Amino acid sequence: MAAIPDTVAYFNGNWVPRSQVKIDLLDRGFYVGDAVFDIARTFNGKSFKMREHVERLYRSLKHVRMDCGISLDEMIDLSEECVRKNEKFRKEVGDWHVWQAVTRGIGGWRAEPGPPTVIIQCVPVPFKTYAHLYKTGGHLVVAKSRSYSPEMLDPKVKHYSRLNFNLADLEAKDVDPEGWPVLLDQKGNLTEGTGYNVFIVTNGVIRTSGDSVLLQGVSRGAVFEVAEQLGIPYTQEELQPYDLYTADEAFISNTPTCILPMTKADNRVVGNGKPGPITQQILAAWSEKVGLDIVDQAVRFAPKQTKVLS
Amino acid sequence: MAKGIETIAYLTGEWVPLSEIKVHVHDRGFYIGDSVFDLARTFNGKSFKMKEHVDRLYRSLKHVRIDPGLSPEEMVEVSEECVRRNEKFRKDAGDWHVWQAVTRGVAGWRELPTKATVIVQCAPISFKIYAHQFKTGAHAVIAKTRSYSPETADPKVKH
Repeated sequence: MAAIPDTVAYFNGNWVPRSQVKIDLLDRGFYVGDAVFDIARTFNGKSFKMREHVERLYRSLKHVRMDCGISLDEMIDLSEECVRKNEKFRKEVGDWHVWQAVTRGIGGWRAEPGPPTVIIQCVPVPFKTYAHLYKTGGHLVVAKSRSYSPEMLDPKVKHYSRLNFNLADLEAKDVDPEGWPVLLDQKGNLTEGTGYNVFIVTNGVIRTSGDSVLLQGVSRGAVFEVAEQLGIPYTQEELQPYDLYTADEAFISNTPTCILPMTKADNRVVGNGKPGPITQQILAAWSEKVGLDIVDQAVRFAPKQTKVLS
Repeated sequence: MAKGIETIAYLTGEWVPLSEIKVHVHDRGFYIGDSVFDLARTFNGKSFKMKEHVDRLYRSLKHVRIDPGLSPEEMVEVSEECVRRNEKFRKDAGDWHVWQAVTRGVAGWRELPTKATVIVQCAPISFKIYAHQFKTGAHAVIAKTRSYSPETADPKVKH
């Protein structure tokens, strides 16, 4: 891919080139992590489950008591408008992440912040980060850093304040250079990764951690939908590293990848070490659902990406 | 502090007017909280326990594995230079917070940046937030939200 196109972004009420979206040093979203966000994606330029993403954004906003000054329906319209305005750049990048971010605004310590900062932008789906893993599977690593307990910071809120996630990314690479972290809760149960939910398959049943310890992924919900269509049973339960190590299959779900097979956990082989049949079945059904071969698109666009953000 | 005063700040190797420092929307310090900081203060324009603050900053950096590209001695020197460069504005502000912030830099999801973002700035001490409370006392409230446990994010790290 040539230089990343200077897409058009929404910034505090105006449409501007993305390169002009700059965050003030005294924005609470920067200096004290006082921000929430969400990211949807497009398939062939058409947004997927935009309403679900924006509804989750508004639940995050409600929990952290921010008023972004825009109704939920307007946020959807602005997000769709962002997609339309950038359609002319899409052939270079394949598809978009549609990324909404809201901070409490500019304001000093204990001072009343100004109006919230609102950003909506289209950035390329980061295919190069994961395209090669549909075939081989990625590697999960149980990170040392634990997830938030709901008493500290409810993991259902999608926010910008994630020191433990950043450390978990590094810790995973200590164990396996290709590692994708999964964090435990304070009791030692599996929660989620750094931007994805984790699933295993045991004896034909898809299993994942329960609602209370993780971000309720929109793609996680889509996995349940697809599983129902295919008649594959699924459960939400407390899972431990043991269940991951002894599973027949493992995969993650998130917005860019949809699902991505995982074939190792803490350097142990999961199942037979290859992407499993149920993982493949879900991926195929998902491609059908969005009218595009998810793997083929990722593999085609990945080599064109030198960087995915600028 | 009177409006319109433009302090000088340090941004990854350069001295620039503070208003020119903006954070990239894809700086990991913004979009995923991947940053640490510290704040010293001055009394009559003279820094107080600067070395202790910078030492703590470097312990935070070590814990989160960010290399700012400056030694602690250089960070102390840049911080003191920031105070010197802004001395001419100090009569309006009284004294300064000397604020060092280091982010891992600009990069996407699962990418590591090549270079940290380093900011050192002098900001007026926010006397008006608390000056009246020296006399009356302030009111503490036990918050519902709990602190981080060391297993999640060690509270010794200033982030």
